[in-house]
Amino acid sequence: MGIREGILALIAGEPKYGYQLKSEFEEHTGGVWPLNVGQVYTTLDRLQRDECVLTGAPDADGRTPYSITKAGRKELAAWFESAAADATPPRDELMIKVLLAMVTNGVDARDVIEAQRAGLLSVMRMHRRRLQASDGDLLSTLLYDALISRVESDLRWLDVCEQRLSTLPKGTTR
Amino acid sequence: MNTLLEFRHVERRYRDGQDDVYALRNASFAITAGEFVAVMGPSGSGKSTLLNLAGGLDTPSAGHVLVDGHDLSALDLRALAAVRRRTVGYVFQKLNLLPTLTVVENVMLPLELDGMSARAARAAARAAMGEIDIASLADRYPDDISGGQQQRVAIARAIVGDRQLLLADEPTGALDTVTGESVMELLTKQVASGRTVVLVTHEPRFASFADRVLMVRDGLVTENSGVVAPLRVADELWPEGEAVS
Repeated sequence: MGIREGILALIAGEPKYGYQLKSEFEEHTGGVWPLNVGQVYTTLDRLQRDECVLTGAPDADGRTPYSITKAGRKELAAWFESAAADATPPRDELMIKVLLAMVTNGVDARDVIEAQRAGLLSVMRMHRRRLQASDGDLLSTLLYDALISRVESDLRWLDVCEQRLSTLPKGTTR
Repeated sequence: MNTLLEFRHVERRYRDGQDDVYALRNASFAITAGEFVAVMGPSGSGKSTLLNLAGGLDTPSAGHVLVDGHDLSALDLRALAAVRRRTVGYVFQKLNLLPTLTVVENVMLPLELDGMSARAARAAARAAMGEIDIASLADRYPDDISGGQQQRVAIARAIVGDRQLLLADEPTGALDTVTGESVMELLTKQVASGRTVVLVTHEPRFASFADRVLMVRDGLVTENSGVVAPLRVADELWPEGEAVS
């Protein structure tokens, strides 16, 4: 997924300026994906090259509005319809850390799991505090729900690792 | 701030044939009035034992459990029952609401059993239900309301008579995530109004509402500070003579 589809989604309703797109993208994604304005203009140039956006006449302040074309709508619709499943296994640091702990002499994988669990619980509580401190609008709630659910999934995986390790003789990891 | 619940070197063991099985080993911790503490750990780790000991439903094999300054093991049965009824409220996954009583009658029941007049008990029940935003359900029967509403009734019954210590054992177990979170919000509200909540859960999502988390593993209680402890890494990870830190 790129900024490309995000920009198309933001101009699907009405034409917008480059800086406005940067601000709205960050606002709607709860600030978890900061953009620099250069990235926005580079993406808009590519979208224009691919005939997915059109530019309008600059306003009195010299700001150029960008609007979506039929090809842009088609690309946006295809993006919403496609599954977000990632076929390539993610290079997730937690996963790699636990896997390597299993095969590194002198490191007890159970200790690594315990330490990672402590850290993740603390991250989840941080997301919870931020959710509680947010103004409770639906987008923020859904964003923090997503972050909490991801940590929950990592914690569940650690539980499974630990359960599998517990079936092995003490002190062994294979 | 005063300590509302304290465990001092508490041990709970059971006899299993020739062996002693430890449900809890040398547990020491203190919970301050107005705190929200989650207790986490795998199944069979001793979480529910801890909660039962805190509420005087079980007796330690060694050590002391203090509730609001009372050493539960030093109290006779009558005094223990009084502490349980007046200070401690329970919320379980299984709600134990009586289907033949209305919501308000269910909530007032613990006070009536404690000898309070029906009139005073009803007034206290209505006050508790007001706090939980279920005043409108007063004359309904448990079977006619949703699972989330039933859990709210159980919480009203737990706080009725202004009991200060709420012990909740997997109260969200039968609820979907969003309803479960609304029950957690409700417990958070109880803490904001000065009550103390001890929540046993195996779900980190619900534990994340708490101010702090106690982890129970094989009967041992540790605090989850959120700080990743330095690992005990053996020497072979570093070449001879190289500093570890």
